[in-house]
Amino acid sequence: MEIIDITAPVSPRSVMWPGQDAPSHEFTSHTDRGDPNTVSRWALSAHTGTHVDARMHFIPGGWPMEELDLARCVGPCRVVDLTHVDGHVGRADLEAAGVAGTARLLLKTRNSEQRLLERDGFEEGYAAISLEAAEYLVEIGAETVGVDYLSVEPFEDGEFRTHHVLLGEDVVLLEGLALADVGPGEYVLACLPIKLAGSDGAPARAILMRDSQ
Amino acid sequence: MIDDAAALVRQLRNHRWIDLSHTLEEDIPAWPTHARLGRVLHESYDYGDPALHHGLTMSEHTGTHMDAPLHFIREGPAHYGTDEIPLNRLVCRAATMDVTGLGAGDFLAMEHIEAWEKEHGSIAPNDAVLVRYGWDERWAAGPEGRRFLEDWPGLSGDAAEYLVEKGVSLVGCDTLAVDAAGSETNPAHHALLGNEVYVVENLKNLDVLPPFALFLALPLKIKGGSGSPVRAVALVPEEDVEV
Repeated sequence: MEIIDITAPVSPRSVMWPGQDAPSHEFTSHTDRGDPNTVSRWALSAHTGTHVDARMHFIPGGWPMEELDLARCVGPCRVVDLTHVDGHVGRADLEAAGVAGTARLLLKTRNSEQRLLERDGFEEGYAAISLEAAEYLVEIGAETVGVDYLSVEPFEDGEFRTHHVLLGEDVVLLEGLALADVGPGEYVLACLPIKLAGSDGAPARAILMRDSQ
Repeated sequence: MIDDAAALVRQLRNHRWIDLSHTLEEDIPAWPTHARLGRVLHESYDYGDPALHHGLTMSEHTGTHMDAPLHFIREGPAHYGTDEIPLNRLVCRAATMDVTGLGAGDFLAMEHIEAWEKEHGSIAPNDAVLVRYGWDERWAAGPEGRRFLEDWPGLSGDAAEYLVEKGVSLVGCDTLAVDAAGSETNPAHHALLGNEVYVVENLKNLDVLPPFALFLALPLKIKGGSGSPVRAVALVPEEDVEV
């Protein structure tokens, strides 16, 4: 079985949403200083790199991270090729891709072709999920939706309507997936966020598995 | 056990996931010198912001976590961090042994493992070995959790060497450390991490697992990290679940 890592690293160089600090760390012990072992303390946003949004991120009273149903994040999934889409992913793009009937969908867009997650600075022009596409995903009963940059939301939507539509209908959102080296098709997804109590989100390690080719 | 993805999908249909990770809260037990988990509010809809969003501070060894080799190994081929641990070693079959009879100051010896294998079958290369001392019952947030930090048993150096020879992928336990409380030389850490056998500490719910189960523990991809909190899960046949 082949295992493909689709996680963006947590590092002081992680690309962040504007206004958010990149992770920082400090060695509290280090073998080079004569300590018996090496340990760091990290300060980081709950939405660093590859992460899962909890429903409470936008919906007051919504579930926090520790109540996430893990079955949403582990199981068959489909990587959908949307790299040809110029603007944001629209309803027609999803209809054309024939995504209905798949519970876990990872959307691979031009963000992956441009390797935006690997760049140093934040890019406002990333591809996201338009409001009508979000409504379509809810219509077809998508349970888990992943994107290949920091947010499902078009940058210019100051009302965060895509988040409200998807989280409002309890769709689990995986953001910051590194899909640049992944082809479209069927996989088994395992996206395991750390189990933070009362949290609006959590960084995760995400992998795709499939039979060796 | 999970040689192909299709078999894994078939298993998912009549199995369920058991979460082996403690919930990360403020005031959970921590190694005395390690940073505790803390949170700070970045924004909130309660204050008129569009979303709720917290920042975190934590040690790499917070809650249920994995040790990367460089945690103890200062140089050489095993001096590497969390982000370089090969993932095919972390999706594996787990052998879970119940040694709740061991108490304060006791060690799990090689003979315990051999006896377990005689009863349940051999531990194979790339298996994970999960040791249940019953210590997770002492886990609690706040001062009550101090009991978790007292006198936990651990793996003897011989037992660790035996598992290294077996070629296991990782060793997990429900205690704060794979070495017993008060160990100054940390023989199990050195034997395991020095041979690129990874370590997962502070597991819970091991009592629910059958002798063999599919196991996954994925650390955050922390660049050069000495470890990382992990979400550890096991896939258990529906009929085996006693919760």
